[in-house]
Amino acid sequence: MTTTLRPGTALRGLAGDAETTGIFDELSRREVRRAVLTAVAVPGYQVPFGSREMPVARGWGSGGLQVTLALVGPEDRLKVIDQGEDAGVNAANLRRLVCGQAGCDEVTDTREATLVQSRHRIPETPMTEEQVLVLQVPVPEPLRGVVSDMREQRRMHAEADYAKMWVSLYEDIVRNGVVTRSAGYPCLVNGRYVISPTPIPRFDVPKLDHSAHLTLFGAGREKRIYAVPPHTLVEPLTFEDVPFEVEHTSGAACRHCGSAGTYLVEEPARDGTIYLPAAMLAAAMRLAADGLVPLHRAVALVTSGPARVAGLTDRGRLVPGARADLVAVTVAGGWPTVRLSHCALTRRWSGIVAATPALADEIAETLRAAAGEPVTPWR
Amino acid sequence: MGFSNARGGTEAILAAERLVRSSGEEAGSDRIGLAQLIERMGLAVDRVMGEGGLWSPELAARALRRAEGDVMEAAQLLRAHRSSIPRLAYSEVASTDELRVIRRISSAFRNPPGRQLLGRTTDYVGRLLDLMPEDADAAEDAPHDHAHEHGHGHGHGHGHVHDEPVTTGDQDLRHPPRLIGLLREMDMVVERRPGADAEDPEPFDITRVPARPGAPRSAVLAALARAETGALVNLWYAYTFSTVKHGHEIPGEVRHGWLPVKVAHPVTGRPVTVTEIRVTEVETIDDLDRPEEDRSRLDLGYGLCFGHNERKAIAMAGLDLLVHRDGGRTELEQRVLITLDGIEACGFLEHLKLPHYVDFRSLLDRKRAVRGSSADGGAR
Repeated sequence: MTTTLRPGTALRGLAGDAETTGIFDELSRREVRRAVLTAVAVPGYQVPFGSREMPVARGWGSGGLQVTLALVGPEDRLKVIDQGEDAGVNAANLRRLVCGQAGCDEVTDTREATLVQSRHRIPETPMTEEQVLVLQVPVPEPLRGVVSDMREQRRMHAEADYAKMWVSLYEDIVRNGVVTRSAGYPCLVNGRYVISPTPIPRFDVPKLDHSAHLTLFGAGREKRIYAVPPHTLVEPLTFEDVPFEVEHTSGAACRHCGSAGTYLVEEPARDGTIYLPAAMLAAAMRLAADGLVPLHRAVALVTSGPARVAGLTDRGRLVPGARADLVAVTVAGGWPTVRLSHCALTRRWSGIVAATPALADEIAETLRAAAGEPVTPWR
Repeated sequence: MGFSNARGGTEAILAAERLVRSSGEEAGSDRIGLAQLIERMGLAVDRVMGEGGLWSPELAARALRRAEGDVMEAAQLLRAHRSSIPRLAYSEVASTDELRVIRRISSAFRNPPGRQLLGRTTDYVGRLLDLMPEDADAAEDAPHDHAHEHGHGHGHGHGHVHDEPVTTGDQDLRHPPRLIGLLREMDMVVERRPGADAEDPEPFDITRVPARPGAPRSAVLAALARAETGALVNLWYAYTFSTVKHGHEIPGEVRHGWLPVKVAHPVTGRPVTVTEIRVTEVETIDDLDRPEEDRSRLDLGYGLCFGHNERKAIAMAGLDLLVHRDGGRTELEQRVLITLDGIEACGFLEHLKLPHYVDFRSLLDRKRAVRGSSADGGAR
């Protein structure tokens, strides 16, 4: 037992050995574990629990912290991330709290962890049956945006009456042309309960579906715990003719590792907002910069060349009627930056995020002209 | 590069901690003693105990000092401390009939049974800033050689609390009869007590079960008692001037005094007084002026909080009555249960300072999607 009693308490001794100074007494840990078991038994149901105050502000992961502290033991290997990052101050703070309390090891490699506490992200590395993911939840109630009365929210969950939720999604599409929910996209768990999967990006939502690991959601301020058990159906709410969209920027990839299959965040640079450029694009630029081939040849190596090899005749060339995604690129310090892109499939322009409106206009004009007629070489 | 991107977050937070510690060490003035805080900043200590939900003047003073005077932060420290202590027992029900009053006033009657006892209050001390030179001011403030100037053996309360027995004729002014008794004799209040054969339910423990709309009155009272004083006053004030409320309530009594707390002895099972706590208690009276209400009677709202905090207790009593009269028609009960806790409200606000770049990027993505959609003529 890890309990603390202040000297002089008349009832000292009744709670058994009481020597370790802790942030969470054993009776409370037990209570949280009971709530976790209920949550696992009823996937997606928000289990109320007697949330305790933690030595971090309510909202700084007090719910996730309680779940983690209730589960963790000295033999565990704990990874804590915030925004997907191990090194952030909040992650570092929570990690030292838990490791200090439980005496467990801290790790940064997802594969080595037994327990991962996270804020806003599901790790990119797929997790296994052996692992548990604890997500910190600021606002657990997915119906909050459509109904403010908590009594009505409870009724709707109890009767699986999510009509208002569907109507709000429909209205969103009618008004805005797209579903404008960004992070924390509402999902149906096990065909029964709608949950708010914390503000994880839509990019991470498919990772919840039939995942091998157990995911626990802890909302400290709102005093609720819910769960997605392993191998459980998780479906983002959407209509048959409106596909669920994850965050995506055409042509973007990580500036550091070139990965395009991971969630990318934008970083402001000195010359304006940039996307992290694609490694293939960077490679083409490098070939041209090193003088090995002219720029248009280098670009062809990553466009028309692969298309021809794959036997695709409808793309890879900038001619009327072809399915070509367009990108406008500037190069600084040897690294290309995608300023603007046009997706051939959706016929949408995106990413006008350049340093100045004048530059954006210029690039856009160039591209529009380019799209209208064959341009070789394109630059 | 912003702090959230800082590599080596651990180094950064350790450095921040060092800065906090060193600014205390480098200060030229003396460290503030706990007795100073308890005796000279008593109202702040009381607020910390009330909002932290823990009666312990010494720990509250420690928290206030550590929080550099930030009452909210100090209350959070007390709450986190509570979480580290196991719940061993509940006290016996404390009857405020046993309150030994330091101060007791009634706005409803000029001369109520048990008399008015103005006691120690700054209400009538002119709100003028003392501009005496600091040296002379300090001399004036120095302890006098009065026998009753300090403490009364409680060792954990106000330094300036005067509670020696006062009697007038055969009346013990320290234990005045409660005004509600008189109002019931006059048949002026609606009867809200359950019948004799009704169950007497255990009070709702909001620290163990989340209180949601539809919770019993004890949950509402507990939430109000731990509420942040400013938030409580604001909500009361806003509702006082809403269209459903024609007049304002009149406090039947405002009392501040010592209340014994008893627990069942673990061996004998008999109630034993383990401590005395100071509380402010208010019973406030309001007109019942809505069509469906008993227009021939009045109703009472109840407020009780740790320490001396009359603002809080009066606002609490007003809101207790408002919630009851509202009867679930509006979301007032929900606001009382969910939004008044300072630790929760401030915690959510503080969390805005954490990095949000993952969801922010998701938001940008949707903004562009909306633009892309309308550029396509997609906005139908």
